[in-house]
Amino acid sequence: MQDYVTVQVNDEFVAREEFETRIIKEGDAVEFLYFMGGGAL
Amino acid sequence: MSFTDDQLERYSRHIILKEVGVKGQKKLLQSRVLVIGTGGLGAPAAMFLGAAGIGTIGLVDFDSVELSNLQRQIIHLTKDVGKPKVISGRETINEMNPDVDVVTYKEWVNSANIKDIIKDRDYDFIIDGTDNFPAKFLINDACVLAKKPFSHAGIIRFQGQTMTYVPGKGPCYRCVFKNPPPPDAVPTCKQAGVLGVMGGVIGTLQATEALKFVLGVGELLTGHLLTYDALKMEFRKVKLPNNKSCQVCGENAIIKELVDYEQAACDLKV
Repeated sequence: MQDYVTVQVNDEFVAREEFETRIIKEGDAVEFLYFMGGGAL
Repeated sequence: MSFTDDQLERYSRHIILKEVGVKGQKKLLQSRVLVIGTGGLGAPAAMFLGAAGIGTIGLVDFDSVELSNLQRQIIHLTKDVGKPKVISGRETINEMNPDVDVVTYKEWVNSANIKDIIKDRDYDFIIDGTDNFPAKFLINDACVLAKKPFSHAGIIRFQGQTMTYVPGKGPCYRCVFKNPPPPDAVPTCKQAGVLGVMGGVIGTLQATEALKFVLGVGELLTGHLLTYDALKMEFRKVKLPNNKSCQVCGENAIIKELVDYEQAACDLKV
């Protein structure tokens, strides 16, 4: 899963290494940005 | 340069706009936009750029037109199946608008040729219409290093997204998506499918950004990722912070040379 998503919490990027340790607080804005490549054969 | 009567008629709907006018239309006719990939995204983008009167349009694609392309790559017609895409693309644009000089590059972009292609006509703006991550990272790095603005985009199934990079004005693609995902981590359109119109919507947005950049009007999608969900009919504009530790555009950038990442196994062309 972490291979193809970038995460933002409150408009700041969360480093991949922190995915398992970062705590989300109530009211935090979390964005998941997905890789989107396209057709490629 | 002065306009012919035909041109004044052809571009009349642009010229009436206060943000364009005769001056703006001249800018369009004198500008040069490179479209890398003449497929789902590049096809509609190139068509609208041609219609708008972008004076020089570069088309890059090594592929030939296939039947399965026609559901979405509307610059190519049934009679073009088997023809190199850049030739088919040039023919369509020239029929639509003879004012446009279409330059064709029948090649795959890679670390050895992309800088030369960009320099060939010193393109003002680049559109990433490619369909694979190695190319997307290559285009990003090439544009960052050459200090050229470009529009990034991707589509799949019923979704699409796009962002614009302008040197010094916001994050680049690598700021957001650090490295390409492993070759099979993300499905391709061939595996997952794509609604034909997705390229039309997103590719046209890319052309919009190119036009706005050339004209110097409006707010570009710098520092933002515009995402589109066609099933929900929802657009979202996600704010993207700069990434000071970005490997190519950050403070201590380590990427100074272009990289050819490994393509997914099913991408290998004979």
